[in-house]
Amino acid sequence: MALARMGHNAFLIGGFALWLFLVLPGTTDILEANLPSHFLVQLPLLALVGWLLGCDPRIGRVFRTADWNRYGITGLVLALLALLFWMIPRSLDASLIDGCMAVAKYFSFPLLVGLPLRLSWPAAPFFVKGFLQANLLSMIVFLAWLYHAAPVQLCNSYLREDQLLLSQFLIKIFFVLSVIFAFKPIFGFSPTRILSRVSEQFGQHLVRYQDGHS
Amino acid sequence: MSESDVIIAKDQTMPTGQVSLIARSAILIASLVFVLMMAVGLLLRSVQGGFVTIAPDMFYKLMTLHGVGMVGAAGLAGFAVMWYFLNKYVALSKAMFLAFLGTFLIGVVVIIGSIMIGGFGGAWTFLYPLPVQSGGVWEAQAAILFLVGLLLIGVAFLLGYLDVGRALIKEYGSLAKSIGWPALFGNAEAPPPTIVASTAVTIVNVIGTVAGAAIILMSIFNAIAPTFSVDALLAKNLTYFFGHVFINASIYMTVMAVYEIVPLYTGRAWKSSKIFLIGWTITLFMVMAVYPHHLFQDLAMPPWLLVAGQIGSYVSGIPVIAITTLALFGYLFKSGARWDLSLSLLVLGVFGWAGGVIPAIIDGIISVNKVMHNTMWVPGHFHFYLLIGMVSMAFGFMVWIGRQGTASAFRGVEKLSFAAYVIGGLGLVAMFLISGANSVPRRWAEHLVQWQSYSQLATVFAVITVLGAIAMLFYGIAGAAKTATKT
Ligand code: HEM
Repeated sequence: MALARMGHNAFLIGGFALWLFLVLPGTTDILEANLPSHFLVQLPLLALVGWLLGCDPRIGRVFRTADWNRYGITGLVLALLALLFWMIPRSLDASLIDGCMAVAKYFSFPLLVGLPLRLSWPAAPFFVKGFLQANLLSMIVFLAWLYHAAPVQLCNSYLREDQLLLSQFLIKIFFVLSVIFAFKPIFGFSPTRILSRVSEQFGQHLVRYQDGHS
Repeated sequence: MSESDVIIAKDQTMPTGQVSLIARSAILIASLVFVLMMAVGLLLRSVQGGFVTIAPDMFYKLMTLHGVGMVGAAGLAGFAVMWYFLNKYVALSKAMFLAFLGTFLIGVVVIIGSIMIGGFGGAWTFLYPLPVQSGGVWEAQAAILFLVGLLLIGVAFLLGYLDVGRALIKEYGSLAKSIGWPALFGNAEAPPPTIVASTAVTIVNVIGTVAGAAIILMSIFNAIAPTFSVDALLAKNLTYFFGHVFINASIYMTVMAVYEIVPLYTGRAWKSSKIFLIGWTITLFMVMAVYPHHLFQDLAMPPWLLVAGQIGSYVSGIPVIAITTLALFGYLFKSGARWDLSLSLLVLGVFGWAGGVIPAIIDGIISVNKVMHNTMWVPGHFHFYLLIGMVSMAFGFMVWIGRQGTASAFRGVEKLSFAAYVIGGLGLVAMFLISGANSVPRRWAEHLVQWQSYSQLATVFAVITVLGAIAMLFYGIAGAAKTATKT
């Protein structure tokens, strides 16, 4: 019985566990030790927490049918605004020395970025998705240049070498993401769709299995 | 209806109603811009010939206006042609076309403002660092405004292409299917030529827009914060990648008018043969791979990239251009097609496209390029395939869409205007090429007296071309007005 409840709540529990893991002092120390892992590992994982929460069918149902989130526009705008704030080097820098900013970061990435993205993305029209993807790719190249070309150290906590390293990683991410984004339009099915199908089926299977045993 | 009248080819499957109205309006706007910008080109050539004197900064403003206006109008005309014919096969959104056109026109207004009010004269290629290092001729704000205008035009096209991509995927399942790979590598039925070409154009232009947006964002940021410098070679690579893809795509889109209209005259459907599919698949990759031929003079470029650019430039001419030209001969041969203005313009367009590639390939040879780069040879080759190639096809579409289904002959006055456009255009192009072969530099506001006779003769040809083009626009408007009163 207890196990069955866990099956129903797999995404909630998984998300929460990941979040706890990410905010553990040891983990934060490691991930925030340098700019690339802070930017490219911690932030996406925090957003993933929200994404997982959004995979919970109950949360999904409430939000996806909501009138104020038609075509996912409200959710996407919310996520973009939150990202806009955290894209400024100063904000990220402040989260390392100011406790309030740190707390804001740990909560806002899951709740204001990952969750709304998960709940709004599927509802967004093709051109909105395509536009955001194309825009993201251009922005990644732009940011890679920005961190490379910056004549000064942009953060108090990270050195210039860190900026250069981040820039190199961003370029690699650009190529990987380009392939991922182009995959579905060109070949007709999405590589991530395969993953999410598998995880969804696994979840359902788990629930069925545990229901059968309770 | 007289003996010589023919019923202008019409096909029941062609889109009518609002789709036709939207496409007609767009092609008329583009053609109007073509004619206005030709008049500007005429002025530039007469300044170089010493007939007219204007301040050099004014020359560069007008040269920028001419370049960006022509390239923008080429994109618009090509998109209108593609959009109209695609509507035969897939469900496109009219609202998205209007969003595209609206955003495009806002971008145009911003650009005109940056040039005529802000004084920007850094050429349509906005090559870093010229926009931000004008030597005091224009302020950084003018450059920023110009770049923002370009960004808006990029956004406009992105929206347009995304809708095309959506519709293609909805109908065919994926872009791989709509470009014809299952037919190429298997036994599936090939999609129609327009679908195949649209797919290639959509893919390359979305990629080009991403590159263009990235370099424009960098340039804007650099204009605001000059200490963030842009690597000049990176900027040149991104800029020419984007520019090369964009202008080539405009020709690829316009050629769909040939695929769709010529069969109405010959009675022979334009087929997606295996060779046609191979051609477009190669073009898909080639158009993105050959841009380094714009960078032959940059010694810091990796040599292998330049060599690849040279070989690619030879090869890239072969697939679609040769295939389209040969197919056109085949379809026309003994078809009994009745020649009229529209068919003549379309065939002229294919000739201009194929002919223009010859001086282009010559200039694509590294050792030739060392001497010919930055001479008038360069405007010579691209005016060949834009003025005589792309614009003729766009005019052919404009005349046809206004007249389809109505009775009209190839009247004497039309033949005269057509001859003016051909003779003027070829003469103009020849003078560019001859000037280039004699080492006259391109983009110089003032020419030495020894060079001026070329420009003077070119000016005469330019006048003839402009007169021919005005006549074409007139036929386009007259046709549109007739259809409007009929419906
Ligand atoms: C009557 C017809 C035309 C005339 C007289 C004309 C004239 C000129 C002249 C004098 C230049 C500057 C050459 C130099 O010194 O570098 C020029 C450049 C150019 N023209 Fe045209 N042109 C005509 C038609 C066209 C058309 C139809 C297109 C494209 C659709 C076009 C696209 C361009 C472009 C892209 C440039 C390059 C501007 C630059 O160097 O930044 N022109 N034209």
